Amino acid sequence: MAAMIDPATLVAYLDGELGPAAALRVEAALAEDDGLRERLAALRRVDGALSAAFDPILDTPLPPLALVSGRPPLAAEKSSGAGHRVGRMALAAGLAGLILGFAGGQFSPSLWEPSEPPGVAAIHAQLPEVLETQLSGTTVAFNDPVQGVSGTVRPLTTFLNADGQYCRAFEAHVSDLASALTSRGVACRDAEGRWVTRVQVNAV
Amino acid sequence: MDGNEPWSQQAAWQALLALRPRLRRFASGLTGSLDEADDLVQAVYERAVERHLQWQPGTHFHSWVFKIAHSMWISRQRHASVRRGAGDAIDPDTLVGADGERAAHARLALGDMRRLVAGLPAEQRSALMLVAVDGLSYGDAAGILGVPAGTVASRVARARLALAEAMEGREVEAAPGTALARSG
Repeated sequence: MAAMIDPATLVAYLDGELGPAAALRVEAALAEDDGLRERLAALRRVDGALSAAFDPILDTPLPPLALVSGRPPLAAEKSSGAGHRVGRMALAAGLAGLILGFAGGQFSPSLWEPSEPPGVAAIHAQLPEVLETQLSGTTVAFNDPVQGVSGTVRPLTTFLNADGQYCRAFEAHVSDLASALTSRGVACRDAEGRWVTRVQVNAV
Repeated sequence: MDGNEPWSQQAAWQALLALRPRLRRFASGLTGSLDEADDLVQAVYERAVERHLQWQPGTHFHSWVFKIAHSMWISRQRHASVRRGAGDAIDPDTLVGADGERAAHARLALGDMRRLVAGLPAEQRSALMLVAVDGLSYGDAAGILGVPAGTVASRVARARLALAEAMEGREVEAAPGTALARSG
């Protein structure tokens, strides 16, 4: 007759946490006991269902990381939902006017630069990764040998636009030997995960 | 910190970013809602940065981050036990995408399982997520939760047995889709 295997031991066996002798005892019991095998199979089904329920989260697009500094801790604890967070952060940002104008759809297209000053392409090359991975307020330095420029990019704040896309305001400085450029703008992440610059103001 | 090679902030940041999906999965199991999970993950990143990524090389980076997440969740629960809405459970649509029939099947099956997990006692939930979902050893999970490994073992066992019993009753996930295909 096989040894009695209690449920906790069976679970530990499933998790590979038993010592070799104890594991052998469980295996011997499993060989003789249909009921025990079925109980083990039921536990395995639980783990399969857990994976099916939670693993898709690993492949779900992540929201961008938001503002680090200037977040009031108390308000942060009490509020929930992106809407509150967004409003607070938009106000916290130096670019509040720009963002609100943009969000309201009243931003004048005439602010677009008619032709790109040198360095703007270098900024655009940096934006997707910086906006996707960096916390607001973090300055990332870059060096672009192709464009022959170097500079910094800094996400300023994060908010949801009316279409439910995550948008981030950013500030960038770029310079080469002859000139320097400061650029501020807003980019939004589209459904395919691309960061599309919606507004950008460059000051040479 | 003293004498050790300086732990590059950039390397720490990259390691932290790489952990985000797993951290988010863990947090969604704890909170029962993807929104709250994202809020918690965001807070963990802020806390990690506040601490200047003071992780000690040689210890498990993963454990350090998950430990922060777990303790922040515990303290949030204490503060926010007041506002506990039923309307903010994870919407599986945001996970599987709106893909017609398949999504409809997934919605029921995934939603059921998450509800079952959310119904477990909090301390069983955290142990279960670490061991059964994240695949940690009892010892590693014990380090994160701040309890002995034997306690992790018994929490994980009770959680799995409760879920097995609940699934038996409902046939959740036992044969994905088949029962639904008939009714739908």
